[in-house]
Amino acid sequence: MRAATVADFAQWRDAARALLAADVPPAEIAWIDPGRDSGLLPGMVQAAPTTGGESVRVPRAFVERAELVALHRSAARWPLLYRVLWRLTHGEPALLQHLADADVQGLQTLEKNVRRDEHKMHAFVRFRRVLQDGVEHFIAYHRPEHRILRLAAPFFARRFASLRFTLLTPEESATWDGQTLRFGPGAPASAAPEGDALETLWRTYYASIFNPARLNLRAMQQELPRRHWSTLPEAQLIAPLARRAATRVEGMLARESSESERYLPTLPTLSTLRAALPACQACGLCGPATQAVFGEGPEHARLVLVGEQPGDEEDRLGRPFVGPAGVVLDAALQEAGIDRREVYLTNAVKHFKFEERGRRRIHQKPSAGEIRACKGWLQAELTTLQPQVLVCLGATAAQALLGPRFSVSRTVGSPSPCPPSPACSRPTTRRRSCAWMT
Amino acid sequence: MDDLTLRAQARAHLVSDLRAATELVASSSRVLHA
Repeated sequence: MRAATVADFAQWRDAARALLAADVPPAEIAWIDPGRDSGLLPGMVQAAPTTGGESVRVPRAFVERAELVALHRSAARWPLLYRVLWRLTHGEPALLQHLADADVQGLQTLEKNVRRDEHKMHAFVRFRRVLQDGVEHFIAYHRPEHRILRLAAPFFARRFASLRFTLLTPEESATWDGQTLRFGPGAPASAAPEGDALETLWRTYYASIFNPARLNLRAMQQELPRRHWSTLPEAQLIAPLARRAATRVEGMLARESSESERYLPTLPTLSTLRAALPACQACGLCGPATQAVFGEGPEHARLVLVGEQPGDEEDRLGRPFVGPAGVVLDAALQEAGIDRREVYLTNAVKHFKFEERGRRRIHQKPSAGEIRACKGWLQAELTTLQPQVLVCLGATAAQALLGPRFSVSRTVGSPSPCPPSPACSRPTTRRRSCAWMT
Repeated sequence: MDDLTLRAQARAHLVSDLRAATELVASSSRVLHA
């Protein structure tokens, strides 16, 4: 068994050349990393010579990938690289094109890990401003997963070419003086300053742009691994912002109906709501439409059906579901054995939205803003009725109650959150409609 | 699928959901009366 002690790509290249020249197969080599292995084990002899082997011809792509893979911390990288090199030079010159090959896949995985770590360093380094002898200098500490400082540092030199900075990692440091990038010894985290005046501003900015409605902790931790949190000033905000996210989203949803709220009666009942609706100008639909169409049905109705908006005939007659859609609904109700007179029918949007084409008025889907503007009326109706079962006829009605991100197709066959009022649970969804049980 | 098939399918889904809604109303009534 031969032992080869290598710490970086250059040493591996020299050792690999010598071993190839001596025709030593991969299985007879123990690769020792001085940074992590203790040394030779009994029965091993140091490979000699470790330099001076003849040049071998391999694809340029292999050399480029090998340089990246060498930066990985895995102990498997040196034997893997030699195994691939051996195969490339022993009858498999096109090996790298065999993407299903286990060794090629291994190379790809290690290369990808290194590239990802490089990206993380570019994204998560936070410089602190200090004055050294009256000269402005920026210092950052970062703990990369792999040995990538020399790979990642040129990016900062290009980006902050006019600044002087030092980038510290546990094993190595990089300093840019505005002219040259120099590498030196590593340093502990304590060597970097803990904060500066800019951080308060940065944290305020981060807290301001944090959108609680888009919080996805799993994705966040995948993109922003915890190992980097200690050096990110904004990381200390993540936990409190995440804790408050749900409450803030509820508040945002509650405020959504504000446009129509000022038109609602002080004491909402079905009759006061019906009387107040014609005065509503919460959105632009009230202008072109003939009239607002309020819901219809008994106040004691246990089943409420919510459609999208009145159609052409509903707009002229001032009653919901009396046009072609009403004909379809009536037939479906009859087939389901439901008496229409026992059901309350209403729409998410109370005005007809249309586009005129000659003499015809063609239905148009209401926008998210129009649905939001009208939401106050629907909420007030449902609060008054307190139905046992609420059926949303289509996506617009569901979005009005469950938020604009609700998707019927995405929710088919799986439970989804319920509207805050009335309290609902366990939806059963289908392509065109969905129901919630109170 | 053509438009007629889609319409028929949508109507079948609607009827199915309305039946489910009726059952939900009935079941919660039983709970209340119990």
